[in-house]
Amino acid sequence: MLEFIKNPAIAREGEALPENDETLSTPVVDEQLCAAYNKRLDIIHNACTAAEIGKHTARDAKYISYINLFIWWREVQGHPGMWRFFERRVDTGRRPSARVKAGVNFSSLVRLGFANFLAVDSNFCSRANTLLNAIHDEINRAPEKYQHDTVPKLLLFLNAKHWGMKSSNKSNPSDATADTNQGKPASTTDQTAEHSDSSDKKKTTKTKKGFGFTQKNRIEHLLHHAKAFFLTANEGNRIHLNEPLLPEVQPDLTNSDQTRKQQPLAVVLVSQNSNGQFVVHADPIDEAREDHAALIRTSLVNSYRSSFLPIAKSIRTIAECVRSQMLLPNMAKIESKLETDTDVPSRWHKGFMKAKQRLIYIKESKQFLLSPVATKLGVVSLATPKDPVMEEPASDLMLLKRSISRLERAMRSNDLAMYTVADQEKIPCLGKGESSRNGIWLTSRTNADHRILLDFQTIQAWIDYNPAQVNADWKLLALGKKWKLTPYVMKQLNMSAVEQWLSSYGDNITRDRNAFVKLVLNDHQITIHFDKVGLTYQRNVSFNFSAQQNIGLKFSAEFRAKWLMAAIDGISSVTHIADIDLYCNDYGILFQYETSAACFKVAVPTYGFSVASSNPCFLSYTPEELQPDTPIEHTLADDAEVYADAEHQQTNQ
Amino acid sequence: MSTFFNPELVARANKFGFNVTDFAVFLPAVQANYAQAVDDEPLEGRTVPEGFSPQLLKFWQEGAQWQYPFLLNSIGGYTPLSNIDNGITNTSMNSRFALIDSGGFQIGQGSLGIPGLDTATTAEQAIEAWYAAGKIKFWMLAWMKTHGNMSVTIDMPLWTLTAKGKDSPFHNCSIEELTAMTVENLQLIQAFKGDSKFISVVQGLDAQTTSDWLDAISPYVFDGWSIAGGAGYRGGLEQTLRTTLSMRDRGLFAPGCNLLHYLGVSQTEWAVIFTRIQKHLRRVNPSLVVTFDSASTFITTGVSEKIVIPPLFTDSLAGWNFIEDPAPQEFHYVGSDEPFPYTNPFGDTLTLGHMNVYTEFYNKRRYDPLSLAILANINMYTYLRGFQEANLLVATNSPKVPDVLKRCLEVIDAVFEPDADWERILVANKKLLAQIKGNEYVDEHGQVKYLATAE
Repeated sequence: MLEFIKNPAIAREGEALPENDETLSTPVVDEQLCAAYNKRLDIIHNACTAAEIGKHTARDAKYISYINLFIWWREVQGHPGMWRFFERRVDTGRRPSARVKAGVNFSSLVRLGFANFLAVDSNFCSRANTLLNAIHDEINRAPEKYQHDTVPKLLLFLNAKHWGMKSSNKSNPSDATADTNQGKPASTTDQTAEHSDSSDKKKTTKTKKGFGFTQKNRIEHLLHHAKAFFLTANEGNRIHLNEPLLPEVQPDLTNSDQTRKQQPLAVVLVSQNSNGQFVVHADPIDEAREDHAALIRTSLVNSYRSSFLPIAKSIRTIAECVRSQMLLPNMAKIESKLETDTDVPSRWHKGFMKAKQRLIYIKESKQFLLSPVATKLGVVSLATPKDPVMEEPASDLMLLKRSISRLERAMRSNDLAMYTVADQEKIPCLGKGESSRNGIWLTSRTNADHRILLDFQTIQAWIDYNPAQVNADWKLLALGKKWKLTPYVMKQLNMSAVEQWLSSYGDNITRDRNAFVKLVLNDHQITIHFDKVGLTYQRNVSFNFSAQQNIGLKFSAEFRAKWLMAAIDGISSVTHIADIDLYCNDYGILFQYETSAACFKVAVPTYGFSVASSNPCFLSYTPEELQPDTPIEHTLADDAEVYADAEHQQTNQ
Repeated sequence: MSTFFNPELVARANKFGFNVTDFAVFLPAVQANYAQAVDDEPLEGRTVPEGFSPQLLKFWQEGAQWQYPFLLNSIGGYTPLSNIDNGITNTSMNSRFALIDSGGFQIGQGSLGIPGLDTATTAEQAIEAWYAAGKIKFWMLAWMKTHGNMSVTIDMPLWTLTAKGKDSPFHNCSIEELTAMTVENLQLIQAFKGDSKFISVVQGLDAQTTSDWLDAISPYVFDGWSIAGGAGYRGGLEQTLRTTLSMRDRGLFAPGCNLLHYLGVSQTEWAVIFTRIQKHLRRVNPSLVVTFDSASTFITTGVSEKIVIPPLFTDSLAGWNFIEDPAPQEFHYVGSDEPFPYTNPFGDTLTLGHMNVYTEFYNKRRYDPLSLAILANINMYTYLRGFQEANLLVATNSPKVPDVLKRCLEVIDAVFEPDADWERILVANKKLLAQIKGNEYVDEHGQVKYLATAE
């Protein structure tokens, strides 16, 4: 037996340290008795150690089971349809939200792995999601590290977290996903209304700054609009939505007609209580039951906020157009790094201009064009409003960059509905003659002083150099092979793959391995390959089409990830009123889709033809009034910087 | 002859001219900043040799400019409980042999980041801080298990009691207290280690303290042994041999023991001494490997910013020393195409301009972290080649081997004879053995420079 040393830590519990050496002197004891006690203590000491080590071993076993489950899930995702096959085993019939408080929603995976334990522990699913998200985030943060010895390295990571890991290169995922969560329909399985409220309290300090809103603000100002929108008070009126609130029947792998039919559905309100049990509410609108009411309120408002349908017609086309290329919050932070370099020298600093986006209104065709400047290649969005939304201007107009940025900021937190506009139908003309411009104020529902001006200036007033921006040869693009994607497949693709990719790999999109993705289509499925090492993509995710495509169709091309993934995310965020047409050729792909506000075309160039001069599908557009005299070699400047400079001067004045 | 090393690693080292089968194996003590630099991308716009990437400096990996898949890494270089990504943690365990040191030096210094240890002024405070650091201890063990092919147990170094350790939080502890804490660590590791491999540390200040330490720790047998401080190199050749022979006689190198590691030494004469010790110990255990390590190359680089030149290998011991020159670092070298003027694994592709990259006129330094990593890589290569050369000279009985070294090797041969009265031989050759560098803790009268008792 080890002779115990003077260990103040041992003495700490319940007794003070001895004050002088005398008290530490060894008392005279019966040697035989002492030896016997020593022997017993020896045995107990060993048993204590074994018990504590057993605890560690048990925790290791638990972590290893989660790690193996996660690795299994990643591998299964690489086989088309395989994950859906397993997911159906635990299908609850409810539409799962893509994300939960912890991040990605792994509830189905948890049910597959721990089926017998979900009801035992009231918070099991939530904690399991947290753990699986920690693994997910860590692997995506440092993929090179986990290529080898994945299980022991992740085990160390989880143990270190348990012991109080001090530093991690990734910020708290619950903060990072705060905005995106709020836009999703609340899932009663994993996150109750109370959870949303409490997490929102933590965010209050952040969101109170500037133009932010709290969940309380949102519920206070949007609830009656949401009720009116979805239910029209107590009359139970029907509303036709392209994107059903109730779960749609999932497309079956066999693609039989029978399985695609909408099943008869009964509507009940179900919530999950703190023990994980589901409760059916006979009278859900019971004001006396605050927990029910909170659940309903949050769900209604969140659904309302995430939809583009309630947005005023005058600004909806613009919002949907901007959304088609908008970056998620994590990527928006590094937007300047993501902007492509051009070969146009900058007038304002050393080096070359960045290909910044510009949104213009083309007077002649009454269309909105969103695309980068100073280059001939990039993602191009063209929106044709179904009804005129701009009071007839004298010439082409350009939406100022600051307006786009503020609009995007409001959309990222799904707070566009928190603003009102004076004119629901059109963006009025604000001046005549040389100072002619159109504009509309978006006024915050919580504070009339908080306003966003969508400021459409005449192009001549703002662009004196580099008037051209990218346009697409829409006819040439439409000659490509054609696929039809249902809104559901598009949504599923986004929710289960693209959105997760953007919020995890998107953090590290500047790394070579994440800079590109490959899109592969055939007559029955769509596959996205990602995580490129050398020439090989390490991972992929596939979805089957719900409708049969023309037999023998095939397409495969590489894209810049920031272009394709952001485009898919943006396109699937709006409410479609028809299937999406996808045209593919070697030069680029074209998404053609329709909402109740406008018809859209979004063109994404392939990487194989990323040199502008070699890609015939992408052209440049120069507003007519700027075309005549200016030789092209003189049109070299970063107009976005000119705007910034001009805006700066305006502010100073 | 086959050792416990993965044959693929041995073959890779052989391919680049490093014999790790017959000669004692040097484990470069890779520092945390080097491990980080070889995994980072160069700064944007920084000039590098054509085809260069920092991955080429990761000498323990395939694809490096030169390869030597053996290294030592100390957990003492990292912040406890941090999530570490670098060129060591990001590699496969099977692709290199990494001995992870438990950071005894940093523990002794109180600089490991254990709360309360840096401010402890009494023995009680130091011990309390150490016991309160349970989570850090578990993290250290788990980290070593995960990233180390073999790890060193956590020891409480005895040098903290000497003049060298006067600023250590453990300076006022007794030998018994430090030994008892070490034994408790060993008990914990034995219960916790699972399938992972550990080697136990033998500490000492002189013959007696080393013997006492061995008495305390030898019941806890792991997969090998590490000889540190005054029990080894810092006790001089005489004590190193005494410790080693004493351990042999206790049966501590019996089959099952894979590794005998000598901590903190990187002289060519010691390289051949370790090779000779390995040769004799293999009579007891044919698969045993003797290794040794030092961070000298990285200290030479990072602190002194010097380039190491191979020894001249004359017939005097002084001629067996590595030579150090200030690395060429001048403002006018910035952007220069002039080849780097020292023999190096990158040849003429490396220019002075690639190394001198800081362009600010008044900046005293021209080397950035990548320049220092390249310099460390060159120095490391020079050290390894130097050890190979020294071993080859001895193996071929070259006249360049200094007479002193030859006679010391003869003494080693003599003491390892099965029935030799090795204590008598060691004492008889005390003066000869003292000519080999080492012997830091004992004064000229053979007394330990032991502050705690002197006070």
